[in-house]
Amino acid sequence: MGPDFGTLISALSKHGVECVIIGGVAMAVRGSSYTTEDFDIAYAHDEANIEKLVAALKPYHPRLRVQGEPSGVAFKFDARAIKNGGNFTLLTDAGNVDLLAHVDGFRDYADIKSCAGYVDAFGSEIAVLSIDGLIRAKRAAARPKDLLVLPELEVLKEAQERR
Amino acid sequence: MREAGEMVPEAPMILGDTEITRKAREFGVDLTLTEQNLNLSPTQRLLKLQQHIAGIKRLREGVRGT
Repeated sequence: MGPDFGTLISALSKHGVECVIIGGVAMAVRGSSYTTEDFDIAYAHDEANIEKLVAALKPYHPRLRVQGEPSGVAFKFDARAIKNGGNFTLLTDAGNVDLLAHVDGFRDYADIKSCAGYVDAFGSEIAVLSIDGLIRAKRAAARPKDLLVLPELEVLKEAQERR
Repeated sequence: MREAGEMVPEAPMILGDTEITRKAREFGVDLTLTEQNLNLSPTQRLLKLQQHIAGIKRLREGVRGT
């Protein structure tokens, strides 16, 4: 089964999770043609928000995404586990989900949020990293796959400025 | 298939011929796809991505089955 972005966005929005969609899905929302399967979100790492995040995603049975384990590895997905960790790569019934408390190029969650804007998708309002924010994140990560997408992001930035 | 309340482009977006678009094309980016996306709503862009991923999966499964 492929990803179900609408289900994930609705669940996060319904539970009022303080988060920002980043990575490839944010690029797609902003108009990029690059393909990704991973739904990456940066989230506020405070206790109240972690409770909401767990409540939003638990119905989709999050497992740890591990190479060589196509069905993922079961683990206790609760607030304690998330609080003790930071970044998680998960497999859920609605697709791959990466939870990121720390993102290259940004000081903290507030810094990420300041580079995001709300978008209406699948009938829900959700914060999505801006094109400038995506460029900043990709330049900071600077892996070959990050640098590869920069020319198109620059085009999207120019198009946005022309609007 | 635009849904109520969605952010949609006001007029068809056409990417011009600028230094930045030329550089992207030279880099190998197919800007016709980017332009198509810019004329879709965010929901439509994500549905298109989902359909694309599903198509790739079907293709992979077909290759494995041969």
